[in-house]
Order: sequence, then C-alpha cells, then structure tokens
Amino acid sequence: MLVSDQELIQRAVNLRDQRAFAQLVLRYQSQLRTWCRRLCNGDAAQGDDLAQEVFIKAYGALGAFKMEAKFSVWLYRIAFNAAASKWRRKSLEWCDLDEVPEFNDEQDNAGAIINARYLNEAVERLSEPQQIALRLCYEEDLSHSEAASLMNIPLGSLKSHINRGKQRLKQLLADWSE
Amino acid sequence: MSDEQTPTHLFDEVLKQQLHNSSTYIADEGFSAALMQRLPRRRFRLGIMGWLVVSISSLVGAFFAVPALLAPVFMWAAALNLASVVQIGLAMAAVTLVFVAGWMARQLDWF
Repeated sequence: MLVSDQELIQRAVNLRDQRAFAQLVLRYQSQLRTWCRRLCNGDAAQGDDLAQEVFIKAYGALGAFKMEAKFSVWLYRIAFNAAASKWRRKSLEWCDLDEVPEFNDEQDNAGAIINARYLNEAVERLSEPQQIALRLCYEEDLSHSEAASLMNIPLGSLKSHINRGKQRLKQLLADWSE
Repeated sequence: MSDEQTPTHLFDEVLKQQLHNSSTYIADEGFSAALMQRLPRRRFRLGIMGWLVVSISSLVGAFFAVPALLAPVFMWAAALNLASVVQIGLAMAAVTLVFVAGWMARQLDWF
C-alpha cells in the first residue's frame, strides 16, 4: 500500500527518519527536476543542482510544512525562490508584462486546436513568465491565486501572463497551420 | 452556443491535455542517492524518556562506582581461557553485542 505524503513527512519530522524523506525524494524527483530545468532555461545539470538544493532546504524546513498545501507545490515554491535569489532581478522582471501584439479574436479558430501537436514547441517560444504561468495553471492544475503566490506576482499580472501566453500560442499555431 | 463549446474553452482543454501529456518522467539515475549523502545528519535530541534513562543510569553508575562495575569484566577477560570453546564463544557474543549496539546507535543517529 502506498504511504501518503503526509505520513512520510510526519515520520521524517517526528522520528527523524531519513528513509521516509528518501521516499519523498524518489516520489517527487522527476517532477521537481523537470520544474528546475525549466527555471534554468532547460540546462539539465544546472536544473539538477537546483533540485538538490531545493530538497536539502525542504529537508531542513520540513517541520514548517503545512499539510493543507500540496507537497509538490511547496517544493516548487522553494525552487522558485532559490532561482529568484540566484538571479535577483528575475522576480522583478516577471512582474513586468511582456509586450506582445494584440491578437485578433477572429483568429481564435479550430485550426489552432488541430495543430495542438505543435503545442510544446509553441510553448517554448513564449516568454519565461508566460511559460511558467501556463504550466502551473494548466499542467500542474494550480489555481490562479496559487500560481500568482508561487511566482510572487500580483494575481492580475498572472492572469495577464496567461491571457497573453494563450494569445501568442494561438497566433503561433495558426501561423504554422497555414 | 454554450460556454463549453466556445473555441476558447476547447483550446483551454487541448492546452491542458497536451501539457499534461508532455511531461516526461526523468529517471532517478543516482540522483536520490547522491542527495541523501548530502543531507545534513540530524543530531540526536534526548526526549523526556531519554533524559529519564540517562538520569537513572547515572545514579546507578554513581552508586556502584564505574571501576567496581568494570573490574569484574576486566578480570574475566584477563582470565579468559583461550582453549575453552565456551569462553571463546561468550567473548565473541559479547563483542558482537557491542557491535550491534554501536550499529543500532549509528542507525538512530545517536552519534
């Protein structure tokens, strides 16, 4: 039977059981490394170093983890803060909205959906804040307020990043379908 | 047209589905093992029971005096007959017990 995250965290905190923490690491290493690699612009080695740093910080602060949050989201938050402190200006940059040309709603057609197989390639062409915002909300299923809180930006900015990201995606997919 | 049928909603659904499917699993390949080596060892902290056990043990030790307790062990070791299989077995069992106790203490991060 699969032991819940909550139980593993309690064991790691109360019994100082490193094996329980190792279980959590095995469970979340892939997700966190993927996230960290994205934060490091796809650099696998740098991303893995960041992921190790995140797990070590998480281990030290495990007692402060509130069980109502998802453990993965908590890890993402630590990763984001670690990355932001490494590249100090990043958090500020992410508050500024990217200038993208306004997209005509009439182009919001089925053609864009048909070309969804190119979606990943198109997502990678988006600005970093747009990618992160879209992935948090659509891939990780976070609410807008959770994603905004994780990215340390106002809710309005998060929504703008998402809307502009989606507009840009539709534009790219529509252009490629022609 | 209901809201569920709008192109925007369809696009959102496709986006969600595609992004969900796009995340590939990264094999561990020693990542977790390397990480566990880097974790800081947690220091053993005595709980209430621990302090109680240490206090009682100290009192007993002080009452009997440590040399008085160790002297019989030393005398027994000095008088150990290497030709006696039983005594050799007892000595090996004692050494094994000490190693097991040390290993267990290590596992519990006592030192």
